[in-house]
Amino acid sequence: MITAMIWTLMISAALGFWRVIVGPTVPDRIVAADALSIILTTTLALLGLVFNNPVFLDIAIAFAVLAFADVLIMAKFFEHGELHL
Amino acid sequence: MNGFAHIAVLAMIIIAGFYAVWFRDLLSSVISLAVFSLLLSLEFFILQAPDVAIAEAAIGAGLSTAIYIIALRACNALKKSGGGDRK
Repeated sequence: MITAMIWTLMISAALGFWRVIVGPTVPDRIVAADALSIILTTTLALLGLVFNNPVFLDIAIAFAVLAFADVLIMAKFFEHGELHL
Repeated sequence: MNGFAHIAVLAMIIIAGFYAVWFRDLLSSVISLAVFSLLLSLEFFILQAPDVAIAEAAIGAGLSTAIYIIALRACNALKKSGGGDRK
């Protein structure tokens, strides 16, 4: 059951990764990277269940907090419209 | 199960690192570097090194991406004001 869930999450992570690579505009890449970070946080929690060690859950918590801060800073980058580098 | 997922994560790390160098757009390159760091954290996790993974997630995926984006924004502001030096 957990294996099937991890497989499904890995397939969706590959699709999000594809969008990060070929995304035509930068906001596409930002949203895809955010979705990818959420998918991989869930994968980390499930792998903590597989390895049967609650220490691994701390990584998922720290990662969720920091990915949120990252996306917040990326959104602040676009606030003043200085997008075209 | 674990072997194929491991190889898939390693292949995605290689592709993300390649595209972090390949992109001409600097913000896209930083986003690709963030994805690279995220996948590297997952790889440390799979290799059963939780302390290294938590350091990588905090420093690599969190702080360095934020600092790169802030630096990119500061460079743009300098470029708009014309050259490197104020007045």
